[in-house]
Amino acid sequence: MVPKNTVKVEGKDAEQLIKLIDALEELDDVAKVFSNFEMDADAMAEAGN
Amino acid sequence: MAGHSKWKPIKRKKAVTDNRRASAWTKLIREITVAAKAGGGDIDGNPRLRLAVDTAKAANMPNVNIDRAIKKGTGELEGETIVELAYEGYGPGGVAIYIEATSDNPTRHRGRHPLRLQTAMAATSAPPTRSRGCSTARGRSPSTPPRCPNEEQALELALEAGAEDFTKEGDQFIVSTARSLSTPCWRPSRERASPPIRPRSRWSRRTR
Repeated sequence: MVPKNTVKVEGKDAEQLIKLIDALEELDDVAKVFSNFEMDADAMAEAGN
Repeated sequence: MAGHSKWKPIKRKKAVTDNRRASAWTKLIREITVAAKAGGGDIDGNPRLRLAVDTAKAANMPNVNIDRAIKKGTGELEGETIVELAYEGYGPGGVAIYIEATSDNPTRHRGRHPLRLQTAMAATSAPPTRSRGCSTARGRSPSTPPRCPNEEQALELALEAGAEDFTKEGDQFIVSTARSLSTPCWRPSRERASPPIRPRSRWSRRTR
C-alpha cells in the first residue's frame, strides 16, 4: 500500500500510535498493518521504547 | 543444591523464543493457505504463494508444514476455512490505519476479540475528516535492472500487466499496482524478446 497523503505525528500521539500498531501486529489474525503516518527517526526510536 | 539447574534459565529463554516463533509461523502458515486458496497450489503459477513460501523457508519452517498449509488451502486436506479480511480505522493523531487480517472465524472479530478492541480504540480517537483515502496503490514491486535492463521494455511489460505507476528509484524500478498481477506476464506467449520482469506483488482479490 502506498499512501496518497501522509499525516505527521509527534509526541504522545506517536508513542500511542507505535504501541497500537505493535499490539495489532502481535495478533495472530493480523497479516499486515498499513498506516500513513510520518515520523522522525528519533521520535520513532523513542516511541518504540 | 537448589537453584543450580543449568536447564532452568535455558528453558525460560527457550520458552520466549519458541513462543515468538510459534506466533510468526502461525501468520506465515495463514498466508500460505490463503495464497494457495486464492491462486492455486502451484508455486510456479502463483507468485503470491511463492513469496509466502519463500518467506516461510527463510523463517526455518519445515517443508512438511509448508506442504500441509498449501494442501489446506487447495482443499486436499481437511481444515478450517480461512478468509481474508480488511479493516480500516483511524489512530492517534488522525492517522489512517489499514489492517489486513486472516481468520477462520471472522464473526469472532465482532465480539470481545482483541482486534475488535484495538480497532475500536483506533476508531474512537479519530477526527473524521482528516487523512481519508489512505491509499490507492495496492502493491509495490521493485525489480532490479539485471532482470530487465531496458527501462522502456520494463515499462511496457509493467503496463501490459496492469501497473498503475512506474518510477525509477536509484537502480530499481518501482511498479505500483491497483490489483493483483495475476497474469503471468513473465511468460510471453508469442516471443521471448526481453528478460522477464517478475511481479512480486502479493496482493490478490478481496474476499469481502
